[in-house]
Amino acid sequence: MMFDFPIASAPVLSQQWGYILLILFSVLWISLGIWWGRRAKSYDGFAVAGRNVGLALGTATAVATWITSNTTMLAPQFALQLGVWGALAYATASFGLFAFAPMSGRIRRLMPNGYTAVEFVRRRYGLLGTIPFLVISLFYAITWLISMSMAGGKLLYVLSGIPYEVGMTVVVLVCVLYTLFGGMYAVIGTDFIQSLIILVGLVVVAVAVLTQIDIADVHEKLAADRPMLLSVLFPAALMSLFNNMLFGFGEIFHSNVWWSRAFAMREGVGPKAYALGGMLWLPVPIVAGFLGLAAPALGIGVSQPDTVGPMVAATLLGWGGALLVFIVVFCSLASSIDSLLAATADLIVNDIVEPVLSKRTSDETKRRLSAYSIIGLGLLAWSIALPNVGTLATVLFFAGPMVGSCIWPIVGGLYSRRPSPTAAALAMILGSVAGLIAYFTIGWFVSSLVGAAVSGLVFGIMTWLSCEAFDFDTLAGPPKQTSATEVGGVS
Amino acid sequence: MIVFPVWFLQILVIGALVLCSAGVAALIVFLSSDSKNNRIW
Repeated sequence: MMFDFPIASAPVLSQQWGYILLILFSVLWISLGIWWGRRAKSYDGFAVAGRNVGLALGTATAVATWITSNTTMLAPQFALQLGVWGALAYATASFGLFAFAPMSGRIRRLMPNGYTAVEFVRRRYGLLGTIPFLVISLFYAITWLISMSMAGGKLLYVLSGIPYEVGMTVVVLVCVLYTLFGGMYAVIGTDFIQSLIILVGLVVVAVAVLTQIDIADVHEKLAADRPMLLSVLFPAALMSLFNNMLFGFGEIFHSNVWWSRAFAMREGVGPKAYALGGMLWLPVPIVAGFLGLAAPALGIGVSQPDTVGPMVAATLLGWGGALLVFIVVFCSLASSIDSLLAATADLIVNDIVEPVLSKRTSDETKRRLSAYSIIGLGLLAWSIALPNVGTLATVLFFAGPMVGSCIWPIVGGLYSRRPSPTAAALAMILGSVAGLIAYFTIGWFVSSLVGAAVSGLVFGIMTWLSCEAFDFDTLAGPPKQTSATEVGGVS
Repeated sequence: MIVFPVWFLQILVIGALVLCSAGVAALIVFLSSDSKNNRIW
């Protein structure tokens, strides 16, 4: 889930331990990337992990990718500022995973040899729909990548005092290296370990809090000092609820991060993995949010609300808590950055380079182009994130209305034969424009809502006016020649 | 002002913790099952 806020506070872990952990986990992820990279001989292996990912890794990758550093750091802030509704509003982002579950099965069936979401839009809506969708997809992916790189530098500085430039560079470099060596195998494999670390870490910290203070005491303290945080009718929190949910739907439905996983999972696994992933992700913002709610009752003064989670963990668990938070945050960062690098490289190779070359590119060439794209994306994110311009982080909020405007063209195009390319293109363009106007004139909390509403209205009217009869069989594309390395890819 | 009752907060937090723990167990069980059937990937 994508949010970003400026972060600054005193370190909770010594710089020396920060460097030790950074080196240990960097070596671990890169080694695993090289190990799993042995499987990624063909382009299908590199881009979609051989299309044979099972339930365990499929579920874990859905959970880990959706847990960004902001989920673990910002959910406590949401709870501290917006109360119980804040944590619940953040948790609604899991609805996107539930909704995508049946879609992933249909995507896998309709496009057995597919690689990207843009490829679907190209075959479904032609060039007219592809251009706005590709622009939105790249804008979202690149701003999220830059935002996560910046968050990496800032969070490592906040947690351990490691200079921003060093922390950001190491996080980006490590993710680039293991994605480069192992492709989707490395991304999905490391996601499994990262999801276990994040879930166990959160449970340990929350249980430590509960051994120190009772939930009833937290409730009593909040009711006495900050009753708005317990209010059933907290206007600001309620307003953000539907906006966050739609932002989440838009992010998941349009992003190639999620489509590439749908292509990577074995037939029949996607719907189960995404639904279970949603179930496992749902409690994460609530557990993390509880840390924010507990802070006032524990008497922990919070000068910077966005560091309330680490502050609570470090205060209660001391050095061990700070260590745990550092590891959880590093895992959250890596699990999102690697996914963005791999999925965006697929977009560049399959939806920009290959169509521009106007010929069928060989697997070897695509594999090489993917490697160049991953390095290029890493360099782009690093060079833009390096000056640490705070206002850049706000740019990614523009993505909210833009991705919200993609919801209807994607769902309509996937399930109905009637929507036309004109309906899809106009819905995306007018929805984005209306959402951005709402963003600047009203506020961020309604921008996705307006974008999705206007897009839905335009899409509905245009589909009613110009009805088509699309043949879903054309989505499968031309038959793919199977190479020897792609046969029998089970472990 | 209507506030969330304490039992709601208890259910929310304990339920979320149970779900997180069950999630960890489920992932390990799935991995073991996939591994037995040679279907990790």
